Amino acid sequence: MSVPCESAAAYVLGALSAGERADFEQHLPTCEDCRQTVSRLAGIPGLLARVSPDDLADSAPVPDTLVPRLLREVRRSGRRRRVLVSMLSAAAVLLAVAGTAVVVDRTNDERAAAMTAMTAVAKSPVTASASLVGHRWGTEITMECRYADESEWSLPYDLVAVDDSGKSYNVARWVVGPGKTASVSGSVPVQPDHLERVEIRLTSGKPLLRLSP
Amino acid sequence: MVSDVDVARTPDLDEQLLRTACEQHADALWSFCLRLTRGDVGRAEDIAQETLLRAWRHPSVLGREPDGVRAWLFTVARNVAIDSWRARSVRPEDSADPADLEAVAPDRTDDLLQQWLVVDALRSLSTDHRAAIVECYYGGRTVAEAAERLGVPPGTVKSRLHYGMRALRLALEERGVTR
Repeated sequence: MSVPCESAAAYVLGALSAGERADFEQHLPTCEDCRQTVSRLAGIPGLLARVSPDDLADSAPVPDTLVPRLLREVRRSGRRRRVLVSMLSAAAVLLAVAGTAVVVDRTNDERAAAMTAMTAVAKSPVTASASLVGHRWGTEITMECRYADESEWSLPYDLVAVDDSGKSYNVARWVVGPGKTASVSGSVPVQPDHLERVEIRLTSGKPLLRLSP
Repeated sequence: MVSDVDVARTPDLDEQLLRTACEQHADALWSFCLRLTRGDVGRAEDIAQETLLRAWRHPSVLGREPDGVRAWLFTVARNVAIDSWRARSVRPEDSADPADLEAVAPDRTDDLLQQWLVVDALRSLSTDHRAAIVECYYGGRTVAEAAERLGVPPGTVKSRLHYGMRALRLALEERGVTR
């Protein structure tokens, strides 16, 4: 980038000296990049004018009571929701008999990512494949888990991600109907290249399937 | 998030999502709630609490990109504040509460929401980028004057403005602020 082009942001903010401003204004008609930059940034001073620099100072800390009070309320509501969840499970049994899988809640991000088969590390009726998609905030994990036993519901399984410092994250816990495939997705606040492995485990902690990115 | 009826979303997972959201957003939400109530800590806490509860009831929100979550939380906080302000103003026994006179009137909350999204976008910049913009725009200084105050060469200030303004534009877009 030539030196005048680097003045575009300062120009928009009115921060160039008179001489530099004149130079830049001579340069502007000759430079498509600068014209684009200036028009892209032109609205920002108007937005900045709405706020006071005092608003940028660190504000009072969050009161210690906020998060604990919230979690108490959530646990109270959670008990109500568990009742609803078991009603949903009962409905799922009926659906399983009819051989219909119903998707009730698709995640908003439908980007297809390649699914990789997870490797069995212990004998079990479960097979699964998973995909890891990196975002700025971490990794989105999508997994499909097939339960081969046609007669029984599965045990509860956990999806656990372990990062390269050994810290583990519980991503989800679920059960699968006889002969059904469950789709599970979740996320961890760790980038994919810092994930050491993703495992499906029994709730006892015993790993059944593993994916090492 | 879990997407089959064969699968139960677990309370533990919900709680973890909510804890993560609190870690990422509670500070920003709190400062906005304080602003909405003009520093009334008790009412700010009620608004923050209700806002986070609503987020928890809509888990798809918590799975969005952080800047999108932020804009959603601010918008909900604004609505909660308006609702509580209206509820109070129709209850005569509360209307003598001096806090009501201090609270931000509903028709100003839209402005306040937009302002706070700009504040939040500015706060998301690196300290160096933000300082350069603050010196030049709010301080009304030239690049050379800002450079002297910040103790760096003028070229560095220009470059910080250059990258800082681009980052700011992006942060504003991600928060849905366009003009």
